[in-house]
Amino acid sequence: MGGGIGVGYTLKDLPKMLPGLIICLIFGWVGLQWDTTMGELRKGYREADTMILKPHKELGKPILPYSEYIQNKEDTYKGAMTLFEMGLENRKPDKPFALKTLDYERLAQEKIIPFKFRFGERAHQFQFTYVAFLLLGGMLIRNTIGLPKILQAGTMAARPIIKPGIIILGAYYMWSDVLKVGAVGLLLVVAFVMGSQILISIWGKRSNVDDGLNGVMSAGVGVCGVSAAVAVAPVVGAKPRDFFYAIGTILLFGTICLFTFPYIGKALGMEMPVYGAWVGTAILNTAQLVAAATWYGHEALLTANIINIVRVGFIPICVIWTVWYFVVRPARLAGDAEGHKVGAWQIIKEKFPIFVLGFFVMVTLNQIGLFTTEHKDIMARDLLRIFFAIGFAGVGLNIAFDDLRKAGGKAFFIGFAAATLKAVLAAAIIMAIGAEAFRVKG
Amino acid sequence: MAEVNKEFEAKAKATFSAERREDYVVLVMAVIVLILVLGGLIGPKFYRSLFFI
Repeated sequence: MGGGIGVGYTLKDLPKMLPGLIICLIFGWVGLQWDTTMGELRKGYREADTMILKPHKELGKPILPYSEYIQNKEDTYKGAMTLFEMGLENRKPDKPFALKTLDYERLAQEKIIPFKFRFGERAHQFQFTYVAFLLLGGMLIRNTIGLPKILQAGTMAARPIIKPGIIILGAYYMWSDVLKVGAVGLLLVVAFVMGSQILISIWGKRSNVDDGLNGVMSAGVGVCGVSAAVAVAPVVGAKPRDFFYAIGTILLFGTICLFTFPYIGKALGMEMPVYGAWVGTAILNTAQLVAAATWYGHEALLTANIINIVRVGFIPICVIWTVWYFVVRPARLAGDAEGHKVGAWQIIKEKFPIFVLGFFVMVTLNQIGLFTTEHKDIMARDLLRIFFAIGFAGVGLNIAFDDLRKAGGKAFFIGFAAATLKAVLAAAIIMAIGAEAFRVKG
Repeated sequence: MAEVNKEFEAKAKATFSAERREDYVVLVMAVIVLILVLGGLIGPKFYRSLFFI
């Protein structure tokens, strides 16, 4: 599946994985602590700016003494709680945010928002959330001080920990969302993901790219990165060098997308569902796709997740296409009708990513009303972030420039051009379709 | 070529059996989370209790 070559997860390998997993756990915690701190500072900025300074400067409202400020907060909270207890509000109100004494008094005195609050707001404006912290931080660590060998197996094993997050995110959806967004997603996947695979296959063949390299590249760039490339390598007779060219290209493209798409999305003014659909279509790898969507916002993630589920469901079909185009078709053209047959059912059985079934079970449990709003918040907001943070720590720590340098050759140009073309066309078409078709209501 | 193919074939088989195992592991993790949340062992304050605020 999109995360890369599968991780063994056997008890025998556990001691080998444990040090790296612990490092990812700690690094993930640091990332989430960063996010929590920045979130609090940003709340401080909003409170200081919109609730205190602006009313004071623009409307001439006096800045109250701290005790009165706190009393007002408590009164507002009590009012909201009364409405909740009377059943007039569905959601239990959160405790209101209030500035700490020292911050408030300094603000009242200097009439300037403290630097730490401005820093929190800036970090938000630049989308420097835990996702960016872990990916950039991990990449920096990997390529400067390096990753000791003892940690490598564990950091690789941390990446698929994103998947339980994808499954429990199912608690947010109703079947109507999955079917609505999934139907459009299906069209996008067929048009762009399979389209790019077919385009690379044909373009590569016409440019006389070796079948082995072309087959690996089209499967990898078309659908799901490294593991699709591994799956088709034996059937298309890829050489090890071809294989590493393809892997390098896939990793390089994914890394560039991951770090640029959130900013391109903002620059193009993409709404969250539009952005989610775009990354779901254009990025080849589940971990990178989930990271790029989470980076943008929760609503983007909700849409991207459905498109990704549809995409990974297509892995067996893409493998069947590659086998047919590079093996069965040439054999038939050479008059060997019996020589190569595609065991379609066998491929589907072997390659279908069964973890997506867990996602569908969660959607069904939500549909029958098993989850309260609180359950959903705990799973699909809080615990999801923990799983994602550990996974993103693994992704960041495994972005090695040495691997990316392995991209090259004529197929690199074809693969990269086709993937870029797919991303540009997908952006244009998804923006034209508009946000409503991709919005998850939950 | 035959040897290279065998090598890749072995790698592909290992990859997909590993991915299958990976899928089972993540499904088990999701089930454990579900049980802990529905059983009330992980509540709304759990997440914030992990961090310094």
